Amino acid sequence: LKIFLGLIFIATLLPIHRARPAEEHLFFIVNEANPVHELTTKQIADFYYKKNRYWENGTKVRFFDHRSSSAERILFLKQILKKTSREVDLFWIEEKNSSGQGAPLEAPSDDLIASSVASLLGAIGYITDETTDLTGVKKVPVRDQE
Amino acid sequence: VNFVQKTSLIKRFQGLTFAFCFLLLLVAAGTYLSSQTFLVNLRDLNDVNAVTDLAIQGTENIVSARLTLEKLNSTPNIDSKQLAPVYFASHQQADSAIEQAIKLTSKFPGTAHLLKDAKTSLEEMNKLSQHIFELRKVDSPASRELIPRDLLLVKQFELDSTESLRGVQIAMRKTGNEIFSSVYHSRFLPFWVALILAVFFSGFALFLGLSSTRRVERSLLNLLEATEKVAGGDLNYQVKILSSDEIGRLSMAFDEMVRSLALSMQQVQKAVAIRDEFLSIASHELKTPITSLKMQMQFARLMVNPKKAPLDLEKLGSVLDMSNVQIDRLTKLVDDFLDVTRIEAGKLTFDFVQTDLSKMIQEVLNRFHDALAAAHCEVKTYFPPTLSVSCDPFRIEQVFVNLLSNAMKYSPGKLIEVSLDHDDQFAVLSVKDHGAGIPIEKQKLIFDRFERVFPDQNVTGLGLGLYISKQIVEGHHGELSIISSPGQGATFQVKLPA
Repeated sequence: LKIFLGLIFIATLLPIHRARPAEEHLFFIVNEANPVHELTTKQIADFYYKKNRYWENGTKVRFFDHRSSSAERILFLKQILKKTSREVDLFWIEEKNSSGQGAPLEAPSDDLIASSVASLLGAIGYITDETTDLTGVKKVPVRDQE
Repeated sequence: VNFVQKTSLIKRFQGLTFAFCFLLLLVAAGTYLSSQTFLVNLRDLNDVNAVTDLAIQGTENIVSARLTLEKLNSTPNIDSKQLAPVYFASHQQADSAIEQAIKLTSKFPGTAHLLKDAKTSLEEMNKLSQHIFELRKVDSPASRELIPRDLLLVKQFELDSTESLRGVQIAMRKTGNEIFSSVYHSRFLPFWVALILAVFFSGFALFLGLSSTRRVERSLLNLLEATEKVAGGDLNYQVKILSSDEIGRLSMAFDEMVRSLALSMQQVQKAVAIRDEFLSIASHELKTPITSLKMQMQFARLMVNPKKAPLDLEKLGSVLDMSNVQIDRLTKLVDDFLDVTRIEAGKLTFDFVQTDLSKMIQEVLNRFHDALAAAHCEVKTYFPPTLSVSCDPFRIEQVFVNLLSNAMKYSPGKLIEVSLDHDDQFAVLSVKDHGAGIPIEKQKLIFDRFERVFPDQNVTGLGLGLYISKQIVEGHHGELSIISSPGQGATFQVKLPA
């Protein structure tokens, strides 16, 4: 029974264990043809909030987000936007009414985000799983900037 | 009096009428133009609503197309051939709506780029959708793995497209609100434009009309005052001319009329005075021989009284001769009156015959021998033995007798020179006396009726002789003229066509 309980405890801790590395390893990926080499948190926030809709070379920005309940998105909100999910949702409700813009598209997995970014020149997304197939994309280092 | 009409009252009123019509047209044009702006705004509002509807329609069709595609992924056994027409119909509807919206938004440049973005995204979405349908046809494990990715990209393009269309809707709503606000605030614009123009132009027309009317009123009142003054007998009153238009011209004509009336009045008064003088002279002239004749008759009656001495036939003959002279004098007066009456009636006629003027003059001088002697006038004659002209001998003799009688009356005891001459055109008969002469200012008048050179002197006559003589000579197409200066006597010259 002790062993069983120990296994159950370990099993309950596993998701936490899996989430924690994601919190520490948030990677931003862009299409490998995109000439950008570095991004700032402000640039990423502007892309997300659609305040800046174009890359420097004129390509349209398409931001792929994770689902709102996912750990990746929570990490993204915390590290990059520094907002809660509720605050972001309220922002998009207001934005939809004022400018017609909606929140970025949500994808269910890192793989789908990576393959979509690889297919679309101006796409940008974030992933946490280092094992994700990164064919056609490249990681871009992010520098913190207010 | 020269009057230059510089302006025209009638033309001014015509101009005012035309200006008023023109101003009415301007009011109508202003109202029409302001209504046009109103109508253009309403049309734009209608276009805005149409674009909004088209954007909504496009959005709904894009979403519908994407949902159709998602069924391919969510329903594994569904036949793509059934879904394809539904998808493409939705796509076609969306594309058509965007196209129509692009055409309508040419006047709203802020939304054109949004619609173009929407169309571009829709085309991208369509390409990927076709790819998905092809993958579904292949239906291999590899193709099935690609479908979720393509669907995600389709959703991305759908998002881009619907975002743009929502942007269009929002922009159109804002534009629509602005237009509606403009329409609402300018709903009374045509009325105000018409009212302001009407007030302005009415004021302008009123000012022009009143100023013109006031000037006309003053001119007419002046003329009315002048009419009343003249009617009251003031023929020296002159109208104050205030304008150079028709009323000024009328005032000037009125002044002329009054001057002419005053002159006529003077002439009438003068004519009345002349008539009164003539009546006085005529009465005197008629009374003198009648009185003398009456005395002669009474004297003759006494001579034939059987109670007195026997009748002295010699004395009786003398009395009868003297009576005959008075009767001749009366006859002469009556003849003069008849001649004047004929002349005035234009009934003085002439019997032209070839007449020897020399012979006629000599016969008259012989007949007047006793009278000339009584007046102590010596007569010198200068004329050829014979000079024949075509004339009425009775009337020409009347002229010569008149001139000779005048010479005897006005220069008694002085030399009288009678001459007769001729040139190629005229025979010229001159009677010259050496009396007091005739003042120059009188020379123009002595040929008028009832004019006497020295009315105050004790010289008999009606003042008709020279008037009758001149009419007779002019009836012969000749001339009767005078050459005289004070103290130098007078020469009367008769020119008759040879």
